[in-house]
Amino acid sequence: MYSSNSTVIMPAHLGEFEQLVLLAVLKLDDQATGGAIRSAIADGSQRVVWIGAVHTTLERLEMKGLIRSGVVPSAAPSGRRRKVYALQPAGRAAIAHAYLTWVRMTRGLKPKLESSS
Amino acid sequence: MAVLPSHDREFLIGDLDDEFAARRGRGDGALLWYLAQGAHAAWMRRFATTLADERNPGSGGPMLTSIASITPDLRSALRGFRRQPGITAAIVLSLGLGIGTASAMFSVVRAVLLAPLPYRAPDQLVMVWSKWAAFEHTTLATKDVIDFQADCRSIDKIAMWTTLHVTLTGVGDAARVTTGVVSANTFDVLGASPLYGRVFTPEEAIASSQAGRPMVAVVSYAFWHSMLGGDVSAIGRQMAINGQPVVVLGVMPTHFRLPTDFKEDAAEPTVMWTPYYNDPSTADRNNHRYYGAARLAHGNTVQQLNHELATLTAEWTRTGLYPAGMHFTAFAQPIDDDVLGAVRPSMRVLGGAVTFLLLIACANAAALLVARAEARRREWTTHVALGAGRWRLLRLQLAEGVLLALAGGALGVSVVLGAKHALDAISSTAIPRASDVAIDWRVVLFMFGVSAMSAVLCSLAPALHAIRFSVVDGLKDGNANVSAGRSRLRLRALLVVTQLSLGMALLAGAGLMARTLWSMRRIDLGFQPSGVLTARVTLPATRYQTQDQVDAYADAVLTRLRGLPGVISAGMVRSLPLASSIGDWTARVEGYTPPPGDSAKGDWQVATPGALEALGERLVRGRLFSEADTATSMPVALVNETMARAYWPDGNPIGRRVQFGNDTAPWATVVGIVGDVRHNGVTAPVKTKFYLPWTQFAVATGASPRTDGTIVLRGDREPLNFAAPLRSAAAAVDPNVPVAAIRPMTEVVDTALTAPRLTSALMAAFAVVALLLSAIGLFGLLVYLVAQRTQEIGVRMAIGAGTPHIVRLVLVEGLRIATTGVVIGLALAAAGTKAVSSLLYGVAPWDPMTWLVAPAVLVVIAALACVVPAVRAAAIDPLRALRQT
Repeated sequence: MYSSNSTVIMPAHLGEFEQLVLLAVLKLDDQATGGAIRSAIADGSQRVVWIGAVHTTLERLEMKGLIRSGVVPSAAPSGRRRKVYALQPAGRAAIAHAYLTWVRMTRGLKPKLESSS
Repeated sequence: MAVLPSHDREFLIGDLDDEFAARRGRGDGALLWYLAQGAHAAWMRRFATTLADERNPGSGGPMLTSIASITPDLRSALRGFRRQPGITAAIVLSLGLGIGTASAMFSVVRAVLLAPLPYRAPDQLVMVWSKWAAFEHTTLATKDVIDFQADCRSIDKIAMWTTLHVTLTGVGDAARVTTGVVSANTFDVLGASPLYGRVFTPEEAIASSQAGRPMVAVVSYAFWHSMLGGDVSAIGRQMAINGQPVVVLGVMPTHFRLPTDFKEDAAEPTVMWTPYYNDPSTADRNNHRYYGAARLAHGNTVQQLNHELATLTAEWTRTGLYPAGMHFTAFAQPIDDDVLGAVRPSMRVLGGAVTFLLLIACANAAALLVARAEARRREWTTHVALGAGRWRLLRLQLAEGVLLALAGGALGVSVVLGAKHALDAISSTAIPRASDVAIDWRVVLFMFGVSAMSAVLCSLAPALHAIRFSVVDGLKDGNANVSAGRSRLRLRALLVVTQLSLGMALLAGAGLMARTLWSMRRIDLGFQPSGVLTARVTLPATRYQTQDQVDAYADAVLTRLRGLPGVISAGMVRSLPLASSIGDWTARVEGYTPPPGDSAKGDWQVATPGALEALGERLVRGRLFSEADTATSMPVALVNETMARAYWPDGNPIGRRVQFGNDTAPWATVVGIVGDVRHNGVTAPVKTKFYLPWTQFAVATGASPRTDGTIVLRGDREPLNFAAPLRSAAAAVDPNVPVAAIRPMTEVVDTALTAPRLTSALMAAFAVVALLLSAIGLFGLLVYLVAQRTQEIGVRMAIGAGTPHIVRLVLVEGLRIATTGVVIGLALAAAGTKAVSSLLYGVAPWDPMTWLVAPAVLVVIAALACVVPAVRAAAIDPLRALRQT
């Protein structure tokens, strides 16, 4: 039972692109660099995804405390470092919430959705 | 990418790099993708953020706000372009050509000249060469190398190597490959370490010189990748070189090459390296056949080393180690100069030419922009009357410039990609490192830079125009506004003169280069390249040890070839003219007493019957080799005209005798004189040369029989038709003898001329584009001029001026501008002749032909550009023109 002054953690609300970014981070485990996230979303959504948009979104999600990042040295000859992203508990909760919402909302709609695609 | 905010630029570009590399690997429009993503990211990270900040006042600085407010300018510029698609397309096309060619040239200059050579501290690395009466620049003798190491204090260590073609078996089909036989310290001196495994030790080098010990080799990355499967387990693998087992010790990194692979062996670079041991007990000064590279001792300079080498070699001559008449000496050359020295002048000239072209493109775009601005005077007047400041007009111009340059840059990308394709297609052996040319982020960055510069350059003139714009003038009717019209006209005339003068300079340069190529093409090579097919063969020395074995092979293959329908003659030579350089050998000529300290010598060619006939070498007197010249018949030789003149005062050596090799060798009788052949280069001087029959080589010189050479075949049809029959004929005789480098002799000649061909082709292309742009500029100016003077022309016609008069009026105006351009351009070209003079051959920098024809061409093209405006002027209806007032 919650005591009266405890805060109930409400999962943060996510925009569609934010959801895609979080899913990509989840999917990529410790390989989640900006470039890998961009490719994953581009493959999954079959649309043009701009790296600039991915970075802006990652920055916003990090500011919201949904993800965190670490810097890894580069294996490439250019020597440029990469940022690798991982989900924070809040981010995991948020994307899980979004997923469950989606599952609940689509329950029983399968025939309708698939016939219209 | 510099426009990105710095805090996460690195990560962003890193991400872009990853996918760029992946896409390039797949050939998936990587460059366009990179450009689009980069531009979008720059926009997102700077402008979009700023716009967001504007919506939340108080968060952005004033600087960012002012950049953000360029957006409406960009939008208005875009609207303007949509209204005038024709002129916009012309500007974009012109900028695209300029930016594209400049960037393509940059990618070449960067890869060839600017990228460091793949060695540690290349400024401390020198190549060491010998030089004597017969050779300006040649290889070293083994004993010399030992003495250089011991006696030159400015040398830290010296490496030596030679390269040879060998037959490789044990990995796939038998293949002919080039190997470097290198001293154990070569990798250390060059400052290169293996990617996998290790390089050989000095002990292994000594061991490998003893018979019966297994050989070791280090292989190139490319070889490892293509022949050994690119697997680390390849280390320790066994293969066979000329039938002798060899163990792979290590793999060198991708970019590692011997210095000689850039030039001397560019056609067939070394792919593996086996150890060489310079045994002091057998070292001598008779054979100069080793390349040498030295690392300078700490704090020493090339000058110091050269001084030491000069002193040391003078001492050798003084003590009789080298004959005085030989004028023997040695010198060192910084590795950069050695590898790149020859291409630097042409790269500089082409770089300069392409800069001119870019400037012409910018001037052209600027002139078109001024013309556009002209048409929009009313619009601007309204802007200003409604309170827009000059700053705003200036910014509008800049916005237009930026957009146009970006569009031009995008078009330039396709020019760059096209140029890369073209470069890949050209045989790249004449330009060291041409194969390294890559469209990487540096080129992309350069394109952005050039585009930005073009944006500023081409909007400068209209921007000045904007600043001087006066509302009062603008509100007045155009025709009443004489002074403003004149200043605009002057500005455009100035831009056109700029284009014409730069175009003139390019044309003169192109003319000189074309004349150079023409002179080179007219050189009598001493053989007839057309109709000849060539192919290199290397017999494995393990199975072809005796003269009989070699002769049996050559005879079998050549007999088969001569039996093919359409074959006129076929033979084999040791060294193919213009494909490999030929060295000299001492000879004793009966009845000729050399000056003290000197000896007779000649480049040594070895040939089978039919070879000289196939090459089309000219028999001056006597006979060529025949089947009757065998190992057991009387030894014979041929000499070239230069040798005949040099050693026989009456010029008739036939029937006289010559001895080659050591003094126990049998005397050979000269049976014929052959015309001089340009062997070591199209423009290289012809030296004394003698020819020995293949069958008698071992007998005449006491050396082992020749086991490698080039088959030459003359037929009555396109030479490449014989390629497949040749291959199967060789395979039928011995499938384990690799046949390589099958190519027509004309290709060999073209390859020898690649550098001048490329330079003159590029210069010509630049000049044509420059002329075209200048002509368009002049045309546009004259059309405008005629429009401006419609009334005046109308008045002239009304008072009786005929068509010829009006046409002359326009023509004179156009030619006046053209002549100004020509005069300034000639001055510019004259100042530039010094830069091109080292590239010229057979033509003086002041070649009257070039200096008369080039201006004439320009004037004719200018006159053509005048025709349409002149005809238009003559078609003016005087009544209509007068009524316009």
